[in-house]
Amino acid sequence: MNSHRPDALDEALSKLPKSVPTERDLWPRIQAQIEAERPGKDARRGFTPRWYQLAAGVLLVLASSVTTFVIMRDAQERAPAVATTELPRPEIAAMPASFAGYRLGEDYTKARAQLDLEFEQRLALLPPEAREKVERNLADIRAAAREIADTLAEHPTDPLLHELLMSTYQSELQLLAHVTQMAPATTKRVQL
Amino acid sequence: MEMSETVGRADREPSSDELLVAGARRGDMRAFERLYRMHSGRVYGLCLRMTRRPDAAEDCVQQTFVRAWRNLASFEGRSSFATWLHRIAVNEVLTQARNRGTRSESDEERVAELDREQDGDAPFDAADVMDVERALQSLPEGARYAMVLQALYGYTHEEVADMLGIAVGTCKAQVHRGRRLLRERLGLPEAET
Amino acid sequence: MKSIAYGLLALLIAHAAAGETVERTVKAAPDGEVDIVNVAGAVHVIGWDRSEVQLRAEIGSNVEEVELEQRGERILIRVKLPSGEDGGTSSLRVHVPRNSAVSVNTVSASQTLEGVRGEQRLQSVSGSISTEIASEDFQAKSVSGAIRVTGNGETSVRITSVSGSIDLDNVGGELDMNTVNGGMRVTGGAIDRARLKTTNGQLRFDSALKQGARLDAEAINGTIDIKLRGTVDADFDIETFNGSIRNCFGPKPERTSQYAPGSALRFKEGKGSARVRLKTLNGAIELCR
Repeated sequence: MNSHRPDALDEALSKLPKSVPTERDLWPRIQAQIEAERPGKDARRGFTPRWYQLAAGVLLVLASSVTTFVIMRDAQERAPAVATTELPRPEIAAMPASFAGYRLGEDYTKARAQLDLEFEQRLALLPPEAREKVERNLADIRAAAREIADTLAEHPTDPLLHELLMSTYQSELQLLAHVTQMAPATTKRVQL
Repeated sequence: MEMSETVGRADREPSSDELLVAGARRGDMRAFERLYRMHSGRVYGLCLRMTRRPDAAEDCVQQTFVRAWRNLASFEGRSSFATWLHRIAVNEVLTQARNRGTRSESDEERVAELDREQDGDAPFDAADVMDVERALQSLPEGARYAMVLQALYGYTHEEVADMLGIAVGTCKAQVHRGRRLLRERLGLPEAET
Repeated sequence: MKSIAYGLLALLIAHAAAGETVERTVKAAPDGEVDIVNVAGAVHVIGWDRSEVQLRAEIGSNVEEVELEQRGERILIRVKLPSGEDGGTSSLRVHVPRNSAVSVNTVSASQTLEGVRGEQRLQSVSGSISTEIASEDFQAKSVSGAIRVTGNGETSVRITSVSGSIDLDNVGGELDMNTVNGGMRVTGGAIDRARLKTTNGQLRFDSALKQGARLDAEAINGTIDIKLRGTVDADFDIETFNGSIRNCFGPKPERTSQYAPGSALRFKEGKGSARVRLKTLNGAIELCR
């Protein structure tokens, strides 16, 4: 496929410039962000909407089931070792702020609380029967996570349990994101 | 920066990228700025064609270079620095797309805008670079991603598949589809098989 | 083929009366997009050879209007309900050019698609989804509606469901499927990559693995039942914490720990070109050919 002879389409495409100048110089912003993250600085000071977006991004990337561990480690490196406290809304959030040595950080906690909030709002728009199903399934996931976490307490070094726990948290996030992302058109309240 | 320090082996002249990367790794921000000056245009071109939105593309460039800085230690020099940057950029685009949901309103607005820009009954004109650009932008996401990376930036199907996290076969199918749609939209004849 | 440019906004609105049937036909691009939204009732989409979209809507009570809007190569069909009110059951039958990209969005309305070869994005809360797919990307999301997909060829499939079942027949290529309590069944087709995940559902896979394929299946409390068709050339990594492992390929599973009940099984069949990873907490795993 790489060797097709140049034809009119290739010719047309070859005229497109590969390099496109940005309308403004982005370097100052890049430099500022790098400087803010340099070691020695208090990383917490760098908590800006951008950080918030990053954390939310981590959440949604998690929720869309991409490689979990890498992201978690990445989050751990970036985020200061702070959040071992309980989440602000423990009745909704089953996922702790840190577990199994993976500290999830303040940004994560905030983004997570935001996702929970959006989820609750969107859930309220679902037809009652669907809402009940979502809640029941969420409870099932959380029960599974609890079971794994309890087992992990007895066998703290079991790698399978670590993997399954992470994966179950991921399922939980995915369910939250799944409901939150359902297009508004279908979340109009109707009698089923 | 002291360039003499970074020339480790006499048998091979390191490229200016290599020298600058080595400098940047030691924390030399000026070296990294030069890398930015040399590569940002291509990264922006790639991001712009994939995201179709200047603001998202600028964000993509910024995050690409920030990530590159953070991960300079892991750049092993097996691929060129440009390729490495492009991989990060593609990753950034995919993450942005996922966070936005696959069909955001702004995307739809942009597509509607493209429709409006397309005047009357005339198809896009293959001789007009802007029209080729617009035709490329009108492609569906999957086909556009694959076309931008394969046909425009010259990556192989294997490399593109790897960058996008799809199978090689899927990549080939997307490029095939992209080419077919572009031909239609540019009023170009079907290629000989 | 020349590209066709359409007038931007051809807007047809049917102010419908209950029990009325509305029919509209508009010219459409052979590979444009068709978006359909209907809350309750049914949506039936049929791919055909004409460059036209034909809508036939049987309108139930309490529907405000049915809208058919054309924006360039995109056609939007919407059943609108009076705001804040319930009901509004309508049945739509939509013929679309075979290669159209189709998206359907419903709450309790069932979705049936046949003969559509373009990309499909389907979303339903509780209505069932039943479709045929070709080689273009496919995405479906559901809360409790069952999803049934019949394929013919290679494609990329992403399905998320909460408690609805997922049933794939003869779909090859890349699969990414998740469910909490719904069962999952993959039959036929040859797989490049598959990520199958369930919390409590039963997971059954009865397909072939291509050279270098990857199959990752995970169930917490659900069972995993794998049957590999054709020549098997793969590296296996199977692990369960409390469940049992049954393997038809020969090697016996080993206890992973003296203290924990878990067992694991790692072996290679053939040259080990494909990679199969199966994990459960409590569910049983069965691997056969």
